[in-house]
Amino acid sequence: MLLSITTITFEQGLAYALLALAVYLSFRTLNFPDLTVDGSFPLGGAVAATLMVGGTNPFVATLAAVGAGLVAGTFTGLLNTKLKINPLLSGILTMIGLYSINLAIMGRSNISLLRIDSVFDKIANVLGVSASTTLVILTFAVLVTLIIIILARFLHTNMGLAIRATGDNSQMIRGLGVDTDKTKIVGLSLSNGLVALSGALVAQDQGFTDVGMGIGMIIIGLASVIIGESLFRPKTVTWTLVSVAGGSIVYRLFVAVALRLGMAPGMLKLVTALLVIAVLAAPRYKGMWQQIVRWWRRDRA
Amino acid sequence: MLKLIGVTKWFPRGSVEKVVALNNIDFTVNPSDFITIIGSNGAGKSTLLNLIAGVYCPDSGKIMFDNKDITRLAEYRRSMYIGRVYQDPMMGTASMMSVEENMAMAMLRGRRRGLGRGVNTKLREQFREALAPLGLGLENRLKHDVGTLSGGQRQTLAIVMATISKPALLLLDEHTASLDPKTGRTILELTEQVVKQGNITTLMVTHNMEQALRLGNRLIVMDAGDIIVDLQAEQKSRLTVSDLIEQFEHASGKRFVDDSLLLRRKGED
Repeated sequence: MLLSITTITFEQGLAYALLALAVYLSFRTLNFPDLTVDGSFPLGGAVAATLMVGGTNPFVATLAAVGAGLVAGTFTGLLNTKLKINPLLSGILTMIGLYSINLAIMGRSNISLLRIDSVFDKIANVLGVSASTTLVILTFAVLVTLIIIILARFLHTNMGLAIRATGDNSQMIRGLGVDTDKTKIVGLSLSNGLVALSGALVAQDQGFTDVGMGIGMIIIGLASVIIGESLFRPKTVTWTLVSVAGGSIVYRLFVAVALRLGMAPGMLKLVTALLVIAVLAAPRYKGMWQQIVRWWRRDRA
Repeated sequence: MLKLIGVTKWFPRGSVEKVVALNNIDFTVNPSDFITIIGSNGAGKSTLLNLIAGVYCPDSGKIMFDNKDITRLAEYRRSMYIGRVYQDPMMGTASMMSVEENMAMAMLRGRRRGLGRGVNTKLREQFREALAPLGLGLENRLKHDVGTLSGGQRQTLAIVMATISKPALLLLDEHTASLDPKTGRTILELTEQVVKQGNITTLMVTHNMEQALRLGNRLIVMDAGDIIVDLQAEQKSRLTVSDLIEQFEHASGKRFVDDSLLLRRKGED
């Protein structure tokens, strides 16, 4: 039982770590609460699954899914920067539009991939081993490490610095000659490309994709980011990326334990929402608690 | 080098109760000018700087820079020529990024930002050399987040960042006003030094009359969206603070009542 909790924790934690890193990129780096995620996650699944059912190589299908995510992010960026639509609304509009697009791509509300070779099967073939959960976990671990290294390097390039400054002090970086519309669009595009990658791989791992599988993804990503940051208190960008991936694993551990303790799966999203609320409220709550203690002391005096 | 021709700006635009922030201003800045700008609150000083920087566009009139019309040019495109330091030290730096990252971003003012490493050993050495003479120990805190620095340190960094890539024009918007007097003096000395060294054309808004008289080669006084006094070096050097107040009252036809200006006239920075 313990073993199965560990396996699920790492499998899911690493699969969704890509999503968490993407949310970190938009939410923290760009300071842009991007709800596109709820649409670009199933978009990744939809594109990859549809292509794979049509006989496309799973690697190519996964890359195509990333491409679709990049486009979705770009669209949200354009809504916000060129049409001056509020960030939250820009994301919601893309997300809602994507729901229909995902349905149109898939042609129905879910696609099974059970009898089709996934990237994991292909990797197992090449390595000459059987496709197992261990292999899936290792594949995800390698991929997440790779993405963290790439992101860490990217965020320290001149373009990366400009993107971070856009979220930190956009007035200043514009004053240094950066087109902040462009940095926002690039950042959102990359973020949603990563989300779509996550969606494509999760679909292949679980053996199906569903048009509704994006609901609440932004909150799951956010929960991972917040858990990682408050648990590991990273000081540098690189460690923050590692912490965010760690946060995703911790979140899945939390979920696996809760489910094991008998929580109904349907309650998962509510519990996640409450978790995020609790962590977000913590700084405020600290002051409130001190206030209550003061009142209590005064009443007794 | 910089020319404003009949520039007018209303706030808020399109509203019934709009107020004129700049009223048909004609203003020429010559190369190597160091112009100090004073005026009461709402006189249009910050609006003037924002229009020059391109934060917003004028409702009418033209802005020329080196004989090019930049009236509608996006802010980020003008910044190639224009460095700026704000009153709030928070505004000139990115607080969640390190000192060296802030410096690296400033080095590339107006240039393309690609996938090259933002900070490398060579640049780091250059930053140390640029920061060491300031005596604030910033050269030893290159990897620290700017958010951990004091207001004075941040403003010093902001000035270095605004001038390190030698912009043609420097805009200073009451950049010592939110600092304590001693730090303010240090920042002002640094300002004079970098402006002189780089021969940078400078516009400095200040609330401090003594400062306005002592610094620069030209002084303008603004009131209700107009430039009401424009003094050249020679006239300016003979002026005292009370002369200046007299000039203001004469030109504006108003009694001089700005508290913040009155409080600061007694020789304090």
